[in-house]
Amino acid sequence: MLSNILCEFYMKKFFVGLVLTLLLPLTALAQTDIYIRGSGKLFPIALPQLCLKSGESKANREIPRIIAKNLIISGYFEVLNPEAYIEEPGKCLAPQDVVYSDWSVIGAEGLVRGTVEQAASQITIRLYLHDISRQRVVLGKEYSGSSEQIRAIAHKFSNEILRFFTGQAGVFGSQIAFSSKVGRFKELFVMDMDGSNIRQLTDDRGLAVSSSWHPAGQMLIYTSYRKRRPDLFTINLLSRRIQQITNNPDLELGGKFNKDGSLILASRSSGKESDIVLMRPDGAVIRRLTRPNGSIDVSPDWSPDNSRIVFCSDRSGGPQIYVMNADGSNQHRISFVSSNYCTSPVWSPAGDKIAFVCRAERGFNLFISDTDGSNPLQLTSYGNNEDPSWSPDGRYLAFATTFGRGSVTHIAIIRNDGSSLTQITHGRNSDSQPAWGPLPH
Amino acid sequence: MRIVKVLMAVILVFGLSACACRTKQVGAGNVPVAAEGSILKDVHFAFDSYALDSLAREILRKNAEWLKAHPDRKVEIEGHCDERGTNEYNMALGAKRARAVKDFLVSLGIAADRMSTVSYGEELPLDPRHNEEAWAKNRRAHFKLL
Repeated sequence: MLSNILCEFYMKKFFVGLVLTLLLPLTALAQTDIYIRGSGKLFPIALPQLCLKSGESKANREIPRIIAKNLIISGYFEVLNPEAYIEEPGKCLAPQDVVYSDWSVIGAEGLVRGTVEQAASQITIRLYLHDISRQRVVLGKEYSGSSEQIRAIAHKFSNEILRFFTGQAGVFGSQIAFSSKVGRFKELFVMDMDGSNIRQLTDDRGLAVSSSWHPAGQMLIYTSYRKRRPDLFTINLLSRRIQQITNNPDLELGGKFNKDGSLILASRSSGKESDIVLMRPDGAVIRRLTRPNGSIDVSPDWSPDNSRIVFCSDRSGGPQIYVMNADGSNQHRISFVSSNYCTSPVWSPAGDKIAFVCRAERGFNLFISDTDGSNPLQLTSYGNNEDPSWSPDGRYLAFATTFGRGSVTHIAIIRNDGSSLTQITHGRNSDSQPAWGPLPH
Repeated sequence: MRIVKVLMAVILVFGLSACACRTKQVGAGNVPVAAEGSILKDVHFAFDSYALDSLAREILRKNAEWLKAHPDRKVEIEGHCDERGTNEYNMALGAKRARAVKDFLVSLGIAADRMSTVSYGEELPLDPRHNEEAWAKNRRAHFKLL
C-alpha cells in the first residue's frame, strides 16, 4: 500500500518534467463552437487500438480504453463500439493516410489514433484527434515518460480533447476521497475520478467520515472516532501520517480548509449547541460564526473567494440552506424549494451556484440554485441522492446514490445540468460522502 | 526450584496479557456494537426531532431511579438517527438527542458528571432494514454503562 503511494508520488514529481510537444498547429481551435453540443446529443467518437511501433507495451490497448471511459464519463461523447471499426485494430498509418470513409461510414465524427514506442523503460506516445467530416487532424500531442505513466498520459489527452470541444480542459486525473464500510466500521478511501485505483487510507476502526481536501491536494481533513470520541484529524495521502486537530468532548464535523489552508471551517456540537466555528489549522477556535440559539448549524462550505459561507441550519424548523458573510454577518436563508428538509450545501468552484440535497419526491435529491436561492434546478429524481461534491471545473457533481430502491449507496457523477449520470463505484459496502480533490499539477 | 516457579509465573502473566491484548485488537473497535438497552432502556424519537415524548420521559424516569439506586455507576448516552437524511446533519441531530436525554436526567436529580454524551448519527443502526419499523427503532438514545 505504502509503496503504491510512494510510487505515485514519484510519478507526480516526474510528470512535471514530461515532454509535452504540440505537433500540429491548432488552427481548428477557433472553430470549436461548431462542436459544442447540448447535453441531448452526444458526439460520436471512435477510439481504436493504437499502433505499436516498437517494443512491447500494453499502452496501445490501454490508452484508448482509458480515454474512452473518460469521454463517456464526461457526458459529451458516445464512444462507438470497437467491433464496428473497419480499420484493422492497431494498424500503423501516418495521420495523413487515414481512410476517413472507413470512419464516416460507421457514424464517427471524431477519431483518436496514435502510436506507441517503447524503448527500455521509456515510452513515447503520439496521439491525434481527427475531424472526420473535415478529414484532418485537429489536435496532436506527444508525450514521453515511464511506462507507469500510461494512465496519466491518457488522462492528459482526455483533458485536451475536452478542452478542444468545450473550451475548458477536463478534470481527468483528479481524485475523489470517500467513506466506505469495512465490517461495522467506516474508513476513508481515495480513487481516481473514473473509479479506478481505489485505495484504503485509514484503519481507524471506528467511523472515518466527512472528509474534504486541503487545497494543496495532498491532505484530507476528516472526522474520526479513532480515539473513540469524534474529533477532527488530517491524513497525508503520501505518508499516511494522521494528525489530530481537535481533542475535546465535543463533536467537530465537516472541516473545510480555506483556499490557502490557513483556516478551517467546521461545525461543533457542544452541549445544546451545534454551531459553525472558524479554527486555525491547529484546531484552536478563532470564533463562533453562528449564534448559540439552540438550533443545529452544520455542514459549512466556503465560497471560492472565501468571502461568504453556506451552511445548513434547522433554525426555522426543519433543516434549510443559509448563507452568511465570512464574519458571520448577514445570515439569511436561500433554500425555498418545496421541501421541509434541505442539507449538505456546497459552493461551486466558479462561485455562481450552490448545490444541496432536499427531501423531495419521496427521496433525497440533488438541487442546484444561484447563490441567492433563485433558479433552483432538481438534478435527480430517483432513489436517494446525497453528499454532493463539485468537480474542480464545476461541470460535475460527485454524490452518493442508492440508484433507486436499493439500500447500498455508490458514488456517481452527474453533469451540473442533471444529464449524464455515471456510476463510479460498484462495491457492496455503501460508499458515501465523496470529496472531489483539486486538479493534479 | 523457586526460580523456575517465578519464571513460570512470569511466562504465564506475559502469555496471558499478550493473549488478552490480541483478543482485544481483533474483537474491539473504537465504536460500540449496536445493541438494545437491557438495564437502562432506550428512548425513541420522531423523525428529525430531539423532543422527548411522554413515553420517553416515562422510560427516563425509570432509568433515573436505577441511576439513583446505583450512585457509583456512570453512563454514556449515545444519540442515534435513522438512515434517512444526510450523515452530517444526522450526526449533529444525534448529539442533540443525547443531550436532551442528559438534560432531562439532570432535571430529575442525576449528577451531570455521571453522564457523558456521544453521537453516532445514522452510522450504527440497531435494525439494518430499510422500513418504518427499523427507522423507528434506530432513532434512539442508548445508555452504555461505564
